[in-house]
Amino acid sequence: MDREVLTLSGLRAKLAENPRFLYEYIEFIYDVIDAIEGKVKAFITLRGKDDVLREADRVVDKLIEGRAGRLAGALLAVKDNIVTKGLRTTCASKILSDFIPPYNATVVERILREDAIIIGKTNMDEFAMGSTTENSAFFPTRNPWDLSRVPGGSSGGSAAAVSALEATAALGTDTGGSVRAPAAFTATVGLKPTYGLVSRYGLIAYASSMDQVGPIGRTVTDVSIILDVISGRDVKDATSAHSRGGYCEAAVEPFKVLHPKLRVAVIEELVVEGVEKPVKHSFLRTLRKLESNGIEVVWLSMPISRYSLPAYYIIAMAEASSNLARYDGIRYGFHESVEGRSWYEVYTNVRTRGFGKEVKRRILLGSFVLSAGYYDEYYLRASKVRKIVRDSLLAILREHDAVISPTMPVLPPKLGERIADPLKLYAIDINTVLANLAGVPAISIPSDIVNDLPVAVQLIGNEFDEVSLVALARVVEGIINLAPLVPPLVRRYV
Amino acid sequence: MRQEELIGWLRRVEKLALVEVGKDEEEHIIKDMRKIIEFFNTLMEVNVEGVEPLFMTPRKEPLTREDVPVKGMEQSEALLNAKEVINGFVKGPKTI
Repeated sequence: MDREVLTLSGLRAKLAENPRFLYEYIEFIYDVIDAIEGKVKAFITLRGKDDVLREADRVVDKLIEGRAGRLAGALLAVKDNIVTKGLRTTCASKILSDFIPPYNATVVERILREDAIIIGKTNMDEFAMGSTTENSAFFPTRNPWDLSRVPGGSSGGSAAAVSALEATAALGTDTGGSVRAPAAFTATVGLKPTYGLVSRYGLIAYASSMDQVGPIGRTVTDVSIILDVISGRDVKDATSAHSRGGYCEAAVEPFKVLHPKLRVAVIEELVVEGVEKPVKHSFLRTLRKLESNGIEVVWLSMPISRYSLPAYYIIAMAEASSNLARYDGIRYGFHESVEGRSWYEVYTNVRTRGFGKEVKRRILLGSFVLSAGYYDEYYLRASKVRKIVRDSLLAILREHDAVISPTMPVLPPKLGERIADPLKLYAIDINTVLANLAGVPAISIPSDIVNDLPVAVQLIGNEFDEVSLVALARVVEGIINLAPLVPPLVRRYV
Repeated sequence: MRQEELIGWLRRVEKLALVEVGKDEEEHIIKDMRKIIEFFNTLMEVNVEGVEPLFMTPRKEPLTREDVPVKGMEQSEALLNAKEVINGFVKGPKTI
């Protein structure tokens, strides 16, 4: 398969000349899936090739007639916490293992309206709680770059599918880094929009004040094409906002929106502490590349950033305990007969048996930090720290075009390495939670391959200014000059 | 936190959250919880005097839509995933 059609933008160009190429493309994707999905296990629910080919007929007709949508030809993988009508949606949990949503999430409506085809629902950490996709109730997903390692999480299935050429691009979700972490570990691009830019209607809630759906793709341009489609006001989500749009244009012609004297800030606390040596050295090399290409790099300190991780976890667990209170097996999900039993017994049994260990842990701790006597000390205090984090970050972003950091402080860990000790797991979110607490957008771009493993940099931008963020990301991507990257596992197919 | 205190609050939050920890998991969970709460306690080092809490980033847009009725979901669709349904009602356990 031609390297050019590995990207959404390349595929679109090819289909504009030859719409029927879509059939060849679909055969290719399924050939790759047949060869490697058994090892990678990115999908919880994979649609059959025949179904997809039937849907492709309609798309090919539209392409021939010149009235196809912006995502025509794209085979998109959708994370399994985003509801898809008639297509099982599980959140990788036993408690929803047989849930068939009767409606589509707004983001799904939007991608379908632009003629994307959904190829399947991807694996994730249960209810998006985790950073490695090892917390799935069904099975872990493996990193296509090294099958003994994790792909990151919680959108691990989405990132692995894109990385391993099993999908054109994907939708993930990001509450504390769950789009950026797996993008970083799989050498793909992942963007978390400003809180509110993308509708959360149909996104099964984890932490409502931070959750966002974000695109994962092979290049910055691909991600920006999807962002254009999914972003914007939705009356069904009261927290959603108007979108400026023009993200794809910004990626294609970044210097039309950027001024020539670019300046990025490095928050030293996100580099100096807890970052593995190979990652740190790679990051410093990337910074030098940027400097030699005319981008000014400024080092500064943001002391409050050290407290962003505990603040994030207190708030996320508190909100999760509230959002997950709805799972009792009565209206949907894991069920136990109610005959002759008390509500206390039924609900407790369903939830204790249906939820995994990490989910139970977060619900219990979330209830704790909200409970009388502890609310002020923990939840209220964390919310105040959150205010300080946001104010400090916005102040830095007023004087700089973006904050730049390693996306993850470590190389992709081996399966089992981080999962036994919760604090060891939480620690790898240190650089990503900042953007979620503050509500600002952030993007992860592959920056290096170290010891045959992906390393990435993160750019954090100003709220509702994804146009500048995407433009800057495209410039940085160009300077780094690696994309699109293909893991050895699937190199023979290109 | 002392061990008895931790076990005490574990029982309490189990009731609040309707999630139980099995006897065989209890020791392990308590150990994890202790570590995590210590981790949370580092926030005590921050001076938050005079700081207003931030629960959600500020919205600039109105949160309401036009007061025009729109078609909702069909009852049959809404009940598709319920396991015990009687005459369009979902059956639940006794509450009294």
